[in-house]
Amino acid sequence: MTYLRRSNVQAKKNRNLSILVIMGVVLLFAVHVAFPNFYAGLISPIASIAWKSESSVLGGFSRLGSLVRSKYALLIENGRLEREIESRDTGALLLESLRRENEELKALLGREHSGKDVLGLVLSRPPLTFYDTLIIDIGSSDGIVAGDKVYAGGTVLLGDVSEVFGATARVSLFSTPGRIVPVVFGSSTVQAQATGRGGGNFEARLPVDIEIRKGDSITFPHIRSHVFGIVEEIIVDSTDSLQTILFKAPVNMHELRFVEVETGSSQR
Amino acid sequence: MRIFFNILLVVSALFFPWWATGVFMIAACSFVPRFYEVVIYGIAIDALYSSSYGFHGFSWVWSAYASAVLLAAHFLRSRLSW
Repeated sequence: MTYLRRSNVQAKKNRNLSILVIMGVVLLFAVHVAFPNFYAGLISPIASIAWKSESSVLGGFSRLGSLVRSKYALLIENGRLEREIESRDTGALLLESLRRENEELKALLGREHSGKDVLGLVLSRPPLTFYDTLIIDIGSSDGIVAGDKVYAGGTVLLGDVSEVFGATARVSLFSTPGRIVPVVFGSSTVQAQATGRGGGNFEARLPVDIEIRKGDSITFPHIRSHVFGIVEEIIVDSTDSLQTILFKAPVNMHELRFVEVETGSSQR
Repeated sequence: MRIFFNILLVVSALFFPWWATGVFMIAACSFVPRFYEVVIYGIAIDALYSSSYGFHGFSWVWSAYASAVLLAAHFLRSRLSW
């Protein structure tokens, strides 16, 4: 009996195609390694168009949602917000006068911050980004350079600009997992290294004898008045001479819509 | 199926949380034979979102993940039939 041999032409074709594709992928990797910003420069403008259109669509939907909410619910919310504003007014006045005094003293000593803040719309934020980065809609055309400090609400220091493109920029948050930043605890001069844990969370290790309380504010060694984090948890182990301080930024990274970029802060 | 997963991954990389993109990559490699594009998406996500600080200093998480998923799917598909 005669058997026909199975043709291996198709298998050869598949193997050749696979080798070709693998070589292509390796080439892509090589370009990415050699020129880290090459693909980002190509993709960012296209992606920013998609993000901007998404922002406007979502904004439209949220406005539509507020239109159909009942008047009674709005009245209740209005009352609650008015009471909240009243309770915060006194503290805010004091804070504002202290902030002004602080700026005046720095100006008197020739250390005022001369840069200006540029408002940026957040196009992409965690958890969309795995790397704890923000993509903002301002770039080199707005005078942004790599290293500029980025704030939320003008007072909460979030991170710095890591890459700048024409109309967009990438912000690396200080809470990027594994990123080590110097921090100052409370009103003291105790300085330590804090390690980012992602999503605005940090961890720092300090000797047990240094008294730190929950709610203490934490700053970054920078001339501009700001808040960096608030102590959330203190873990003390009786067998360890160091205490672990867990703190987080006082803003929710997942809800950030706008940030301010302090231009010229990269040189200071 | 291939086109559907390509569109899904582009949309997911731009608008969905990172873990959803991770799940879609596994699904794409499981259902589509030789879904090499997944590596391109991995590189694109790294190019788009990664900074010099990376994730604990490693800036190639998505490229590595996509390659691993592709290899794992290829290995499993050759040993399973459905």
